[in-house]
Amino acid sequence: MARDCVVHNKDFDRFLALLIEKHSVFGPSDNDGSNGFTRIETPEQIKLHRGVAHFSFKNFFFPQTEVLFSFDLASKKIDAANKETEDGKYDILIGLRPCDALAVDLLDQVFVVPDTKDVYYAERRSKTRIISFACNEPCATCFCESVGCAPDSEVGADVIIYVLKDRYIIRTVSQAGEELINGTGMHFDAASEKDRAEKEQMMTDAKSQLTRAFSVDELDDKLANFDASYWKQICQKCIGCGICTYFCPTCHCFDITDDTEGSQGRRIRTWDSCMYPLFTLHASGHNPRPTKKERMRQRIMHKFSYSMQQYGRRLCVGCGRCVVHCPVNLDLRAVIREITEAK
Amino acid sequence: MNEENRAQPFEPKIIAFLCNWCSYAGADLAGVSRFQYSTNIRVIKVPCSGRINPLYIIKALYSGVDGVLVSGCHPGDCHYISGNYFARRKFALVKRFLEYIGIEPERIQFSWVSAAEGVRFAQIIDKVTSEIRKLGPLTYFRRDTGQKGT
Amino acid sequence: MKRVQSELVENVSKLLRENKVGLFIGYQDGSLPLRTSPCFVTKHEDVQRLVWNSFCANNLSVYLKSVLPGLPANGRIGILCKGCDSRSLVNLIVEKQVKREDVVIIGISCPGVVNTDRLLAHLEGKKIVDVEENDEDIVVKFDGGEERFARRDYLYESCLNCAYPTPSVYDILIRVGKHSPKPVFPDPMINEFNKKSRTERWQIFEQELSRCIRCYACRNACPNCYCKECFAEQTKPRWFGLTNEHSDVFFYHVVRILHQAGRCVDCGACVRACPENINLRLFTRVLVDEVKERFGYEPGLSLNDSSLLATFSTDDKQEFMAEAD
Repeated sequence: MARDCVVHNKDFDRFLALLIEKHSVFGPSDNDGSNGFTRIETPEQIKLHRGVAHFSFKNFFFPQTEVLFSFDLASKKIDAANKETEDGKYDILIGLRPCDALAVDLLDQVFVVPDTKDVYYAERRSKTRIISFACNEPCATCFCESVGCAPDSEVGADVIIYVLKDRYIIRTVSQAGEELINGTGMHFDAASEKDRAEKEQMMTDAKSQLTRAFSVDELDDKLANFDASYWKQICQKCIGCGICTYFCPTCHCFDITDDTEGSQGRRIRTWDSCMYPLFTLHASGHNPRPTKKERMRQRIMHKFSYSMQQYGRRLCVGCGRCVVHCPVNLDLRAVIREITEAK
Repeated sequence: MNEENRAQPFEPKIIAFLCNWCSYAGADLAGVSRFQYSTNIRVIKVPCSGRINPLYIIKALYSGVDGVLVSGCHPGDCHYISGNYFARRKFALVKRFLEYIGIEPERIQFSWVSAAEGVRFAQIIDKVTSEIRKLGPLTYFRRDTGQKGT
Repeated sequence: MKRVQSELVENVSKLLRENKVGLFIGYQDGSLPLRTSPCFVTKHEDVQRLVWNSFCANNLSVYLKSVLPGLPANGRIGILCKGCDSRSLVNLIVEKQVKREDVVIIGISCPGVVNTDRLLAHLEGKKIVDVEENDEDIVVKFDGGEERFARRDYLYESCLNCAYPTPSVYDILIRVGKHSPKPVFPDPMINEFNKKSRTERWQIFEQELSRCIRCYACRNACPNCYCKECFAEQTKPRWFGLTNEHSDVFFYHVVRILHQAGRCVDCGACVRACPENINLRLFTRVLVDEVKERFGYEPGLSLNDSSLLATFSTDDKQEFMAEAD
């Protein structure tokens, strides 16, 4: 079902323009603010950075601030945030790297579970199509292969685009991706053997730039030891700021608060972080995670151990943002390495 | 919020933090003596002006008022001896900072009013209210109902 | 630099051997180019990890504001302090968060810390192989060549106007070459900002802070922010919302900066921690200057200090009052 098309550089903007014309396109641009993406009106607006974008794209399906509903006791009205869908018109999220696309797939596990579907996330997700770009130049901080992802991973994408020297290879990954490409009405040449060979070479080159950060072979066994002594040392550098959780494309903990004024108000969902003391503070005043040791342990376990037990997958895509932005250079790669090498 | 009151001229909402022993008593005296003054203030009684954490002033602005007045005993006359001296230092810094980031200085004001100064209390309220009335509503510090970071 | 590093290692080694401290906090090489990372040394064999170079940015006093997990039985902690770091530590001692006798301070008279991001931007993605330093320059060796930079041209803003590069309090002092700072007071950046119109100042404030994602890195990187329950996370009462809407973001920053009044030493840790490169210093520094000008006080210079807002003078100026007394 997957189809490989070729689009030459001179035609690529036309392809993008067709998408922009038919759908609502969102992607990384020069000035994304704190969202991580902008509504794209013209093809030139899309700015693909080397490696991962500054922000992850989780804000798209899981906004940092989301009004669940607003209410007015006086008029006894409740207004649930509701977006109308136009048939055949989608939201397109373009410009994700394979790690970020995988992250969306991982978040789907959390939010789009049959019995407990999060309607806000699911609604948005069902009418969004994802177009990712394979990585030609991983950053020094990328470690996707160490966690089972790759510069050309297709998981989570509807369409994946390979950037060659003078042309692009557009590969449809899902049925929805196929429909999206067909829907542009544009004629695409099929990719030739030469095209494919060049693509393979680029990916081989890209993968050779990635160094193996750690091996997950013995990770499950090691993490089974909840009371291991190394947690005391691992957490020492951490200042508990929460940057790692905010930049992580799979971190999804949230808080729900009611913001009221008189008889009116709104119920708001906001991002939360396991690194903050309030996260597990009980009403009694007791905090089962009183220090950064328990919180760092929680973070690592959630990402690498509990998620394995719950979903059979690890909640880390190796994007490296936590490594880049940590103010004290607490390197997750070194942490996992230390754990796997511990006696 | 204020949209419904478009037809009427703007009347500022001002929160007045008054210390229990001097300024609140001064306000009380003004009331008992039937001195008329602008009805724009909402009073919050505190034991001493030194009790005021800058947090409360910002919270007041966030909650939708157009100005804040903090009033205590005259220096040297504090019921708790030195509370207002500490307050004076804090006030200076709060005032400097809010003015620096672009909030009109007339919106946040501080005064010393004693329990015997009923007339003066009324005058100060009128003065502060008219200064804030001229500035119009404070919109840019108010709690949002939907605007996110760009 | 190498001389300083070996002097440092020697001193720490001695402190550990003689059991004067059970833990030493310094810097080690980072895992990213041109970065260092805080280092916690308990064993004598580990002292070789300690480094000293122009990238030793973090304010290590931040680790003393709460109990450290894994603290050895001998509770004394050794710590490496630049000028600004020592002022933070003195402030913590003055505010009774740390006992003077519980810390052993190795002070370094700091020539300034290099802004890694700016240097990396200049190097445009070249693969860095090695870095060498001398008193004036930094030589970065990369794949295919090397480039020399004058340290002074790449310092952090807070370093450019540093008035106290030599620690105010220390047990051991290591001097780093000749150093003659020329601080300008008030800070030129504040002067420039003051000249702008009121609406312009608000616009800049709004614009800078609209990038904020409420990650609290500024608060957590600051040694002064040690409240067990921060106002931002108080639920009884809840002062403001948890959102990243403008009003909530402004609330958080304004109150945090006001809570720093008379305590901030302008170490720059908050600015460095911010992942959005918000120019926080533009708003934190104004109170540093105001406190010096109005009260003649600079925090963190003496163990005999009293906190600015825990003291008063009957002669404090009150020209800002609604009415003259």
